[in-house]
Amino acid sequence: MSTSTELITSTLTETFDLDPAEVTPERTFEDLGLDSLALVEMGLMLQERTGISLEDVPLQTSIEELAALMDAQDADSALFAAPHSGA
Amino acid sequence: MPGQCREVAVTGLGVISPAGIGARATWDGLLTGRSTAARDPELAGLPVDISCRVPDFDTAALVGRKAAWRLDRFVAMALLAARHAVADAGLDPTDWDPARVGVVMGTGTGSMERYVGEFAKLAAGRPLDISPLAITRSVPNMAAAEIALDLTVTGPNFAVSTACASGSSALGIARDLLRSGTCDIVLAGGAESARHPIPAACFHRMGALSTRTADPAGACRPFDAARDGFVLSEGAAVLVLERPAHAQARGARPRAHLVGYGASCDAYHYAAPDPDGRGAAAALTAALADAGAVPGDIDHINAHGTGTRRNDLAEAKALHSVFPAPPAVTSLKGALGHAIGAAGAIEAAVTVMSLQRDTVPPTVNHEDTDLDIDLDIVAKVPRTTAQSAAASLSIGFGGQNAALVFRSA
Repeated sequence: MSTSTELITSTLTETFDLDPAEVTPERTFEDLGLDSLALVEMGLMLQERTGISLEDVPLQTSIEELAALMDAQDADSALFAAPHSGA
Repeated sequence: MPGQCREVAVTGLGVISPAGIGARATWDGLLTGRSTAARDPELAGLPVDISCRVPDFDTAALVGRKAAWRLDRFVAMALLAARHAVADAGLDPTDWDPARVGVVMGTGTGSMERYVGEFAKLAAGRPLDISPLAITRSVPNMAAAEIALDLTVTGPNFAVSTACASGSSALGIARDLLRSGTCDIVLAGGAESARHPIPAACFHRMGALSTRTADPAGACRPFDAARDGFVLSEGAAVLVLERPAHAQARGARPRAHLVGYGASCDAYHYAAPDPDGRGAAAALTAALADAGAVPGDIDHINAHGTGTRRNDLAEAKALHSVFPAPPAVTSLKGALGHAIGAAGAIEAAVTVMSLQRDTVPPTVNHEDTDLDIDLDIVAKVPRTTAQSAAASLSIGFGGQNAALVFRSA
């Protein structure tokens, strides 16, 4: 399980009181009972923790799909940051 | 629809206050005669850095994480008070007709904390980081709305905002929903958590807060000659009000009856009370008339008693003008501070408990009555005295006043 997947999972279980056994990577946020406002709120919580901006994520997105999105954005950030940070 | 009724039964109480979580904890705390005021780390650096804070209020632990993530503190307190009140009334939400159950909650400020936190994001140039729940978490109607959601009740649902009279006004409006036959049960009260640097700084700049910060526990001194203001507080109270026939049919034993309600406005000043207390007197007079009572019927008055120089003098004038011989008077603000929109509801709940126990809780920190006030203040220790009726008076900024009369069951 990727770090992003773990982070999403822990945010869901800690914040929304979901049963950890139910929060598996293939589940979508809709499956887990979140509504669109809760999903945006969760995105802001993840942004606070990672600095990665998450906008317009559909409710039908699964945990692993969101994790992949986060990992891709994280990689982009690293690429952009490299010329400066590597000096 | 059932016909009209004159009085309504108080069948349940839920109280969250700086004296503790639960009506019993609040009552027991009041009888100790000690203030709950203390240094507040969240107000550090302000000229007045003291408050009365509800101890150990862990939202997630108390209302459950599933609800906690979207509840601001005053809403969580309202929700917990409502759950306590329903349990105290012996009500089973699966047994009632949800369309016949209403909710009316008072609050003065809603949640400033939420707005300020979100504004910081705007000021930092991050408007897209503002939470989509910034409004729904914090607006004043959310206390009543979340109670309805929690208990799945679908009757009339209102928020009332009459500043420091909000909790009392809510109870009066709830009473009317029962009297008219609109509801069988109404959960009503107030909730507030305004221990925030902005209201603290604002009330200080208004000259309303006690500046006796070196002695937090001795700061608020209602009706005392040396009074210099109140201490900010927080909390919630919900009363289950019920049509007497409905309560009787399910075998509930009322704690007391709410028999009178009166409301008025000073129309004098946006913050200061009418110095002669005319608005407060009008509310009290209306409540007595509504109850079919005469001044001599009232055995004790739970006063607004903020401990500000202006409030206490104006209130004393109001009491003298309504009562040829004012009965025993107490103010809870020396012990619990001033919970703004929740204060009237907490005080109403305590008035009910006072009637049940024939005991008037003390006015903490009251040492020497101001000669111009000249009231029979129940000071320092509780007073045991037979009671059949008591009044609770609330006075709000904007000159909004509300008075309630309760009778023993």
